[in-house]
Amino acid sequence: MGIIQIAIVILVLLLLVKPLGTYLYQVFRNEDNRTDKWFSWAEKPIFALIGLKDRKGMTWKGYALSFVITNIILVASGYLILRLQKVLPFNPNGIDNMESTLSFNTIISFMTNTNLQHYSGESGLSYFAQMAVITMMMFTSAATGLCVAIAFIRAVTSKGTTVGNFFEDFVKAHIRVFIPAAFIIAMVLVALQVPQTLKPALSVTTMEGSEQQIAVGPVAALESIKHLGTNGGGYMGVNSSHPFENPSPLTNVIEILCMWSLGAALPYTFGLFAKSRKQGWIIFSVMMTLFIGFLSLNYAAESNGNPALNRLGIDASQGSMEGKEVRFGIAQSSLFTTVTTAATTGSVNNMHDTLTPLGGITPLSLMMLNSVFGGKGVGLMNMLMYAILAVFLAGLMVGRTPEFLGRKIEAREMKLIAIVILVHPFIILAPTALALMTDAGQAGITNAGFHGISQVLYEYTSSAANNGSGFEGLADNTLFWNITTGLVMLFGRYISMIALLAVGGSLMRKQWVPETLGTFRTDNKLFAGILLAVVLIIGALTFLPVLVLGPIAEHLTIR
Amino acid sequence: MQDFYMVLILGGTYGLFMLFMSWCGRVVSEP
Repeated sequence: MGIIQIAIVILVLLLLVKPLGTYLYQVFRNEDNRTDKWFSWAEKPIFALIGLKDRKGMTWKGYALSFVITNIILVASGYLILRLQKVLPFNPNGIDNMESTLSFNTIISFMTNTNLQHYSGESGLSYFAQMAVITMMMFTSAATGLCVAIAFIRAVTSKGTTVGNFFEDFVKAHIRVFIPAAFIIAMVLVALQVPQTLKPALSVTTMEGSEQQIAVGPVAALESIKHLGTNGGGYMGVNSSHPFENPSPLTNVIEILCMWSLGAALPYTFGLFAKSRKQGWIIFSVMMTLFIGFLSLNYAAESNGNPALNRLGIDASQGSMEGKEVRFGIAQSSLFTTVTTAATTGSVNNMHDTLTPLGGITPLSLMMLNSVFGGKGVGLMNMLMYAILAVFLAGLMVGRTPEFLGRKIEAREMKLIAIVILVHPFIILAPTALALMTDAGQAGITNAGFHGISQVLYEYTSSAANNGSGFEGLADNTLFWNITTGLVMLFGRYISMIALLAVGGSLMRKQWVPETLGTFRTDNKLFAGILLAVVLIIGALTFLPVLVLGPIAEHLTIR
Repeated sequence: MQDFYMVLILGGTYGLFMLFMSWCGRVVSEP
């Protein structure tokens, strides 16, 4: 029954890929099309307001500079709101200002689309901060990622010197994609019992006669965009495990599809831009193959129960239900875990810290690869980066200058791609080593065994992949963890975006190389196999040693 | 005072990204 549930969700996703991918292509192809009629009335006043009369294309550098400066302004204003929330409006619960290092971590977290939360939303933020910082940044960070991915796609599939206008794309991403989709999903969630109110927390008397505060608030609005924008986190500290965020298996499936569908549609959009839908499906099939492999590992591990408990003779027929919600069971928990870490969303509907050791390898590995569907736009960029690397390696093997989509891949592109590939493991492994060596880092670890290593590794992997989920046994609201994870999130976000935009800018200026019989094709099964192997081999060479020290060693001690 | 350090770290890191962008520009314009 569990496998059938998973298969149905994957089937629905497959049905969504083509229409959504086509829609994204129509929105961003910068030629007159039907979506102009639907939305230009809302965009024109915004363009006039920001003085964008002449929507000139930007070079890759202008585009990168625009998105970084926009992000800096949003970070500065958001930091101020968090530090002053006590005196700002919409604070009926009288919540105090957020502490400075926690504000630092939180503002970076939401600007980088990570949404790592070292606080509990219902008790740490006013309604104003939830709406003006958290929910607002869920739109802007997702739109930023999508815009950069679209600019990169334009760069590798067209010729010229400009990759589009960031501000035009940014407005379109909001008006034509995220705001209408988030509004519709929020209304659906409200209809399915998710609260949306500005009333203060409810005060109730329990059956034992004591007083209890039940947090409510503008939950549905945050719930829809946190998944659509692959943001993650949640209004409540336990995210989508909470019945107010995710009341039923139906809302669970809706939330899974929300965080998965746009990322899964982008390869199809790429195929349309490249004028080769087959090329898009090849990229999609590699992502889906990796996804199903890691989903199978997690589902099998969780279904078989915890080996230590099984040895005691406890009934394992329901699987390892520790940290999971009974209304979701193993299948919907396993699928949610795999999707939230593949799409680097990071909201959880079960506690990842209580996954079995082998089950925990799935979220860790998907965040380490960071290219299986991936966060809004970033996953596709990373997979295309691996595709360029695969072409380069294949070219070396046959002694031919590598080409990707009709452009030669040369030393300058490989230099930047090498940096992106090296930065990701460096910002995971170096801080992990630092945390394990220092008293400040060790103070957060709540498990003295191999699982303690996994807790630290997960925190930095999640930060670097801009995911935001955690092995929440880690006591991470301290100066050390707030600052180190904050810096890892920043480097995980901007280095790859800037470098890959530069690669795109370099490729689009090159002369097209006509296709001949000797051209290495990138739209067939052979290339899909090579690409799959490149992703897995680089991932394994980089991260297998640390996985052996963490979850694999833990499994060997309890099996 | 801690706010000053937080803003300093944020500003310094974004400054580094600007330098990195500039370096990337030099790399892609190399012959």
